[in-house]
Amino acid sequence: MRDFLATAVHAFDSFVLGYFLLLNTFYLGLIVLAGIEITRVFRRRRFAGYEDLYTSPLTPGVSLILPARNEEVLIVESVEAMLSLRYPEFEVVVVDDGSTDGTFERLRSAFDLVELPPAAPDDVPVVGRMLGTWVPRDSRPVLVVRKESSGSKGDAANAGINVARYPIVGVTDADAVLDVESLLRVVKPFVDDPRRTIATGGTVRAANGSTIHRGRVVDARMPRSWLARVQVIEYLRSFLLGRTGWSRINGLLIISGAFGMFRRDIVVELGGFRHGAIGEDADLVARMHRLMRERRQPYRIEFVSEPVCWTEVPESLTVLARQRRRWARGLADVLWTHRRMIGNPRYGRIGVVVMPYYVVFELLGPVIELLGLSTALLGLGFGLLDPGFAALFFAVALGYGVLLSIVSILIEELSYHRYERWRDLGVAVAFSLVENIGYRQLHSWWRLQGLWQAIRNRPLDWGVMTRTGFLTEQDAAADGTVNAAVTGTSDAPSERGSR
Amino acid sequence: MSGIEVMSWSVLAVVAAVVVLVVLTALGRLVRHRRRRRRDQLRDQLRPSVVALLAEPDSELQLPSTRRRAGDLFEVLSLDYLAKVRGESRDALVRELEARGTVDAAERRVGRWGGVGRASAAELLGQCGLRRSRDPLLELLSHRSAEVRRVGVRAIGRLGDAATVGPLLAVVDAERSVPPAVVTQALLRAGAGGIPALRSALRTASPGQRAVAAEALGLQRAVGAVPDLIDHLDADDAEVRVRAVGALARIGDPRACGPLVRLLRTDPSMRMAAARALGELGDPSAVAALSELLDDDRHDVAAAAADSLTRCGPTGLAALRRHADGGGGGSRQARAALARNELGRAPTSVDADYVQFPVA
Repeated sequence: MRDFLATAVHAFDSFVLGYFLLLNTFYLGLIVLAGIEITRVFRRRRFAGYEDLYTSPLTPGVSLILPARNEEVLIVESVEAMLSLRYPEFEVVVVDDGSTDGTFERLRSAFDLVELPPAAPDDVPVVGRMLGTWVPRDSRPVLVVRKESSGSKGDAANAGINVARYPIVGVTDADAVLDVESLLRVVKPFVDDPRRTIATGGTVRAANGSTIHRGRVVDARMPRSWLARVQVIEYLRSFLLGRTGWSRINGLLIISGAFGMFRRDIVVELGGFRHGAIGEDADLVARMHRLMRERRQPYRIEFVSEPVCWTEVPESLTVLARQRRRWARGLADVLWTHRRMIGNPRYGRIGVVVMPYYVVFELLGPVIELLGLSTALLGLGFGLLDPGFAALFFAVALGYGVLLSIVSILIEELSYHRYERWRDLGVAVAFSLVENIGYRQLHSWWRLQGLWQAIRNRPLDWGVMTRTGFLTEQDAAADGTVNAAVTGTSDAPSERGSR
Repeated sequence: MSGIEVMSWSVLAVVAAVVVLVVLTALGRLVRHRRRRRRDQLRDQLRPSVVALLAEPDSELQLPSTRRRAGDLFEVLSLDYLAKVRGESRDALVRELEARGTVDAAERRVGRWGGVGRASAAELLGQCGLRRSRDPLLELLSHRSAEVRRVGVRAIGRLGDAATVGPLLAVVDAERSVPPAVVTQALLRAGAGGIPALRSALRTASPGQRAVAAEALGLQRAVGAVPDLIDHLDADDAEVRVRAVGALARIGDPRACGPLVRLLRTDPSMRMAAARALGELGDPSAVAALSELLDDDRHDVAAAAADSLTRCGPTGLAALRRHADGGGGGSRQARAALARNELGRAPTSVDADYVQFPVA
C-alpha cells in the first residue's frame, strides 16, 4: 500500500514538474514575444505620426462609452477628463445603468442636460428598459443614456452602442484614468490597417498611489498598500505576458473592459455584448475571432503596449477575492461558451494555441498548483517525499515566478519607465518576491473558487449553452436576452476592474 | 545527475538570473538617467543659438560646442522646432540642416537597408520638406514594410509637390499599398497645385484611385471638379460613388442637388450618404425627397434625412414639424431632429461620411 502511494505521489510529482516546465516555457516564449513587440514599437516612436493622426480630417470618430452605476462621486470629473482627451472627433456616451444614487443628478447639473425625444435605433439588443437620452444644452459632445439595470455592464455598453454615432466604439470605466493621448494611441492601428483591424485594447496599470490631477495621472508612484503593490507587479507582468505577447501573433483573447476599442459595424453584426456573459469583454473578442475565422477574412485584434489607462485596484482582500473569483468565472464561461473553438484548426492560432493555453494553464492552473501543493505536503507528512527535493522544487517554482516579474520590470524600465523614483523601483523588485510567496497561492485559491462557482452554476444556463453551437451569433445574442433573467449576474462597482 | 542535483542547479540558475536582471535594471536606469542629464545640459546650451537663428533667420548659426554630439543634438532640436515654426525661421533651420550635411545623410539612409533607419530618415526629410528629397522618398513607396510606406507617403505629402500626386495615388491599389486615408491626407498637403492632377486621375485612374482623388478634391473644396464628381455619382464602384457624394457635400455646390436627390432611391449606404450631403447643401428643393426618407427602413438613413431637413431652411423645418405632428412612421425621427436642431447640436446619426472600413 505504501509502495503504491509512493509511486502515485511520485507520478503526480513528475506530472506537476512537466506541467510546470511547459507553463514556464510558454511564459518565457510570451515574454520574448512581448520584448520583441515593445522594442519594435519603441524604435518606431519617432515616426509614429500621432500629429498627422490628430490633424487629419479623415481620422475616424470615436464614441467613448462609459457605463456607470452608482458613480456619483467621480462621474462628473471623469466625463470632463474624457472630454479633454486629445483626439480630433469623439463623443462621450455615459450610460447610467439604473443608478440609485445621484449619478444622473450630478451629470444633469454639471452639464445642464436636456432630454431628447427617443430616436435611438436597436442595432443591438438591450435588456434593461431604456429611460431616455439627455444632452448638454451647449454643444459639448456628451450623451447621457439612462436605462434600468439588468445587472450587466455589457448590457449598459450595448445601450451606448445603439446611440453611438461614430464608426469606432470604445468601452471604458467611470474610474478609468486615461492618458491624454490614449485615444490617438489605440485608434492608430485602425488607421494604419483599416481593412483588417477590428479591435484594439490598451495597457491598464494600477493607479493606486499615483498622483491624479483633473483626471490625469501626473506622477506614477507605487501605492502604499501591500495588496495594491502586489497588483501593480501583477498588472505589469500580465499585460506584458498575456496581452502584448499574444497580440504579437494575433492571438489576443482578452481586451480589458477598462479600455477597449471596437469597430461598431462588427460589434453590431455580432449583436453587441452577450447578455449573461460574465466576462463580457473576453466573450466579445472571442466572438470576433470566431466570426472572422469562419468567414476566412483576414483581421487583426491589436494590443497597444504603451500604458494609456490607469485604474484603481482593490485594496481589501474581500473585494479583491470577489473580483478574482469573478474573473475566473468569466474565463470559464467564455471558454465553455466557445468550446467548439478549442483545439479546432479551423480557428487558426486562436483555436489551436491560445484557447488550449487558457484551458490548460489559466483555467486549470490553480487546480494543478493547489493539488501539487497539497500532495507535496501529504507526501512530506507521510515521509513519501524527500524534503530536500521538495524544498528545491518549491524554490525553483517560486524563483521562476519572481524571474518573470523581474523581466517585466526590466522591460518596463527599458521602455516606458513610468516609475521614475529609485525607491519605487526597489519596492517593485521587493514585491516581485512578495507576490510569489503567499499572494500567488491565495490567488490560486480564489481562482479555484471561481472555477467551482462556474461549474456549479452551469446547469442553470445549460439549456442555452448547448444550443449556441448551432445558432448564428445573432441568434445566440438574442437568446442571451432570455437567458439573462435566469443567470442574473451582478456587477458590483467595487469589484470592477480590468483584466 | 540525480533529481536533487538537477533541482539544485536549477535553483542556482534561477537565482543567478534574478540577480543579473535586477542589476541590469538598475544599470539601465543609471545609464538612462546619465544620458538624459547630459542631453538636457547640451540642449540648454544649444537652445539659445537655435532661438537666435529663429529670431534672425539671416544670421549665422553659432553652436556653442564643436563636438559631434552637439551637431546630432542640433538635428533633434531642429526637428522639434520644425514642426512648430513657419516661414523664414523654418527656412533658416532647414538651410542649416542642409549645410551641415544632415539632409544628404538622411537621403542616403532612406536608400539603405533596415526599415527603422529608412523611416526615421524619411520623417526627417518630410519635416525639412525640400523638393530635392522627392526621388529618394518616392523609392519608399514600394518598400516591403507597410510602415515604411506609410511614413514615406506622409513625408512625400509634406514636400507639397504637385508632381507627387500621381505616384501617391498609385500606391492606393498597388500590391504593396497604403491605406486611402493616409494617402488622402498626403494629397491634401500638395495644396491647390495638385488639383489638376487629381482631376485628371478622376477621369482616368483605377476605381480605388478615383475614390481617393474624389475625396481629396472634396477636402480641397475644388469647385472646378463638380461636374466630374457629379458624373461619378453613377460610377460602377460603390466606394467611388460614396466618396463622390462626400466630396460634393463638402464643396456644397448647388449643381449637385438634383443628382443627389436621385440617389435617395438607391441602396442604403448611398441613400445615407446622399441624405447627409443634401443637408450640407441645404437646398430647399431637396425637402420633398428627404421627407420621404423619414420612415426609411434603415434607422441611420431616416436620422440622416431628418437632420438634413433641419438644414434646408424654413421649408425643411416646416416639413419636419408636419411629420412630427403627423404621428406617422417618420414622426419619431422628425421630433428628435427638431429637438437637436433647437439645441444647435450636430446630427446624432451614425457617421458614415466616408466608408472608412470597407468590408471584404
